[in-house]
Amino acid sequence: MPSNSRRQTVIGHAILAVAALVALYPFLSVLLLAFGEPGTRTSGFSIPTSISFDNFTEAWRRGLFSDALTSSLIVAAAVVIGTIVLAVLASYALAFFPFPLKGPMLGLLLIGLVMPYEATVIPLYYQLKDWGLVNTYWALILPQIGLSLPFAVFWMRTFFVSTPPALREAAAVDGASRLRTLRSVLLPMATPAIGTLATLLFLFAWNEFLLALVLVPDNRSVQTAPLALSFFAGNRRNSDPGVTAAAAVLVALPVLISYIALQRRMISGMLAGAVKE
Amino acid sequence: MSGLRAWSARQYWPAFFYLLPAAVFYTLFVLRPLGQTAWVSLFTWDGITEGRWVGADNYSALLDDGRIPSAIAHSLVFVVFYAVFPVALGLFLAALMSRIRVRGLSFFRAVLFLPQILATVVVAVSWRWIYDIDGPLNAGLRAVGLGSLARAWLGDYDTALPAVGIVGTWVMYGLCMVLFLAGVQKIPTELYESARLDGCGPIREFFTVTLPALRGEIAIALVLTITYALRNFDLVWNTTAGGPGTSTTVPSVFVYQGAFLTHEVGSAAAISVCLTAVVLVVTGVIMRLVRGKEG
Amino acid sequence: MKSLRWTAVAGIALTGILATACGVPGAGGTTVASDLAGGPVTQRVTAEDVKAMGDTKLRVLADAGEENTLKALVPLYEKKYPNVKVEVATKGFDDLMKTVVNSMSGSDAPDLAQGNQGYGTDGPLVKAGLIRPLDDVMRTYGWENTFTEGALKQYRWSPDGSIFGSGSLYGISPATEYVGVFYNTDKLAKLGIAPPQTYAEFTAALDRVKAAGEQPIMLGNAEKYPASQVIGLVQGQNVPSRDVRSWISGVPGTTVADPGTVDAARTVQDWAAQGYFGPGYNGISSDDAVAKFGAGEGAFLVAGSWNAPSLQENMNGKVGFTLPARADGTRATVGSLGLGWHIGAKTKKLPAAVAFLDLLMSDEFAQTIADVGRTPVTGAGKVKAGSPVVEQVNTIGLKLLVDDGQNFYLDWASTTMYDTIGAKTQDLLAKHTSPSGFAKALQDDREAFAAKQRADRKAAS
Repeated sequence: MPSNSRRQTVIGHAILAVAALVALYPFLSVLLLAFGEPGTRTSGFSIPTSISFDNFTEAWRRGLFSDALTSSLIVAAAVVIGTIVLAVLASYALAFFPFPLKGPMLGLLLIGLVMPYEATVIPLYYQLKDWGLVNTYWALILPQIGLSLPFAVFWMRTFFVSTPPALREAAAVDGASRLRTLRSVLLPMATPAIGTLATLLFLFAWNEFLLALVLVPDNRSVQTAPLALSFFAGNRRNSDPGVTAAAAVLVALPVLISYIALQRRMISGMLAGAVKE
Repeated sequence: MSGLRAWSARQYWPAFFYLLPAAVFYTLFVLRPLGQTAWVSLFTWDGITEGRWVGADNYSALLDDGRIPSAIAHSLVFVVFYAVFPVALGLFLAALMSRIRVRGLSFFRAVLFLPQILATVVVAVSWRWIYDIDGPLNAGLRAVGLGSLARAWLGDYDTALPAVGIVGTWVMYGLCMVLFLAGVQKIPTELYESARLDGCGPIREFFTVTLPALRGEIAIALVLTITYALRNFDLVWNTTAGGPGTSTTVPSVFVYQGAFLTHEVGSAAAISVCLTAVVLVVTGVIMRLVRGKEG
Repeated sequence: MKSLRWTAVAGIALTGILATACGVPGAGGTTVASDLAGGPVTQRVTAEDVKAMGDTKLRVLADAGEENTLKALVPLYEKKYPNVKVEVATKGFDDLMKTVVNSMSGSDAPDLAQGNQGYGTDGPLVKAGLIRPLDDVMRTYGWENTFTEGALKQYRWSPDGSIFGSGSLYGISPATEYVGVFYNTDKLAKLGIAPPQTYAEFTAALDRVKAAGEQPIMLGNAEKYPASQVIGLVQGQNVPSRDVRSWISGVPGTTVADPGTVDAARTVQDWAAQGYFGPGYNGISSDDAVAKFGAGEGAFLVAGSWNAPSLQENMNGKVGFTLPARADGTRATVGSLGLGWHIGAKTKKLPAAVAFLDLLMSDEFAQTIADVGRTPVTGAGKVKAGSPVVEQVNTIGLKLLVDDGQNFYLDWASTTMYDTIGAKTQDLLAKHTSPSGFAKALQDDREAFAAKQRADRKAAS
């Protein structure tokens, strides 16, 4: 029996290691391309003999990445904060208060969660144009808060439902109002769940491309990092795969860093939320 | 009449104040554009000049459109690659891991999750390279003497669809593995012990203990992956643009083309509405199938 | 599972409530400008005219391919007109096509923007009245003397945007671009092949390269359009340019299912079948094909003239350029002037915008255009190219205009043609469709588009 389980352990870990390698390899290949010499193309499994930062400097300069990364940061931060405030309030009500039309409301949220929004972007564009918001940060922040809400509300509602009822009862006995209960009892408990949600929302907001492309069409000062990337990837006249790869790495880097820093909390939180849902 | 009484009961009203801010945002920036999309689907509209009412013509045109059936067929293939394979892979690993303690779990979780956080453009760039005629996959085949199989995987009519599918498998399998691994670790070991006492082999143990315990995780994984597969657009667009020929087109590619390239916003909206309905139904059916017994 | 039923109910209710609240999409959003923005231009804009506008900014939306040109132009412009600050936004071609129509319909639309010729992009811009006719500017600045009428047709539209190739001029570009044949000079020398000057020499050279065991043509067709340019190159040998352009413009009664085009399709299909394009071309992006050719793969590369500077650099000058001539010595190929520059219909800065075009189109600026590796039509033929291969590109490019041999791009012919032609070209090369089936598919697409246009016109009247 012990030798059997030992064999299982070894095989299991070997498979995990292979799976991890497969997950890692495509990204590594982009890194290799980015660190190569401009204008060159690696082939097969070859490892570049020298590391060059030329692609990165070129991408940084032409893509105006310093502006783009700042814009992305502003937009993502606003989306995260706005969504969390709204979602916490709404999910608190959805979790604990009995009121009519709850079913339809959750149903409407489900629509927002699964709809393909490519065609919706055009009406949205005209709506924002009427309101004079196109080409501003608001055109990126407001719709993304709306689109993030279903996920965030389901997430927070799952968390609230999972809290022990005794806590709320105790608060009620102490005469705490609903808002007070939320603020002093539930929110302190929710910090990990909110932290994870924030990280995920940040990730979604950071990678959002189509909304940004359509809703801030020609104001370079508010364009986000994925748009800067598209400048290279969609360029038919003077593009270089190495520079494109470097630009891709530049866009992914902030997310990657925050992911590595937060991954433990994020995944465990995501699993907890998802499983309970 | 209970609904009416509920309306008048004072205690329910505070709930709406908590809901109001989110409801306003959601209505203005999601529901309103969505309703307009449904409305626009009843017009011929180029996205700029005044539209022309055509009623259900955009929908009936979909039925006559020869491109749609093959696009749906491709979508179904993608469901297999994006949902079935990752879930199967994840379950396989979970079964293997059910009896042992995983070392370095957080490391594996981090790496397996990596494909989820990369922008699709980055994923596409790297996989185009892997499938390239001179890329690592073909180099590997040649190295082991299978050079005759080498080809441009994304440019070949026979292999483009599965090749794009495998990219989707790659994006999703880590998520499923991570989900199921965590689920397995939570199963009480007593369950396995009693199963072993009953003389269950690994296979029966998987079906009697592991699989039922993972039902919730499986439902989540299927909803996430199938939704992704049916909505899938940018992965296809950035790897093959629907080619070669039309061998990898999916409905959402037509939504995108209509909305942004050919200025047929009305017909794009019609496809979009149908797609939303299909995804909703499929999601609902899965939830019911997998979780129905739990109530 | 109640939520699913609720979702259906909610969805239907939602559609009803929200839909009835909106009117006809696009109604009142745009109107065709009956007056020319800023009034007609009858005299050249002077520095004083621009100065009279006071401190202002000029917003420009351009293709990423213009990056180097604009980097040279904007400082010159701002020096000449110090009260104007130019704000440039550049986008990759694909993204520009997706967004330029929406951008120009905004209330604070850019003052200048690039579209793309044909029914896909310029058509909608004209139809929605988003860009200003430039006939007055053309006459004032004498552009009709710089360009042949055949070339200017690519910017001409009927006022409702329904007829392409005649009517008012809506755009202009100082540069010309076309598809030709790059060759690896080392490789040809090694094989003892002289650079082909005629089509007969070109096909003979392909056969010899193949016989020597090398790949004749490097092709990357992952984006679907590059192989259609190879067909266009051969079509240029078989079909008079006038006929090709008439078909693209949508002249009723014209067909692309003609023997010359079908024969061109068959030729390229044969090349593919004989392995002239090497393995896996449908999986190689056009960028990668250029990079591979630059690294010494393939004897020839059929590609846009705009690749000359980067190939010159990557191949250390071991690259030449040619465009095979027809039997009568004239040349014709897929090509056009640059993406048209348009002035927004609602611009309030017309003098500054016209001054911008004036500088861009001036003979003095032509050398700068050549210096960034493009082919200016302006400059009265006096510009010097930076390298032999660019020199070849420029010489042939101007000759092509004299020969009236710009065939334009087949994908301009309808809003969906780009997609149709790309998919059908891949089908053709893989023998999933016949040469005549290929031509018929293109013809069907254009006829469906014409039918849709008729329906729109009928509904409008």
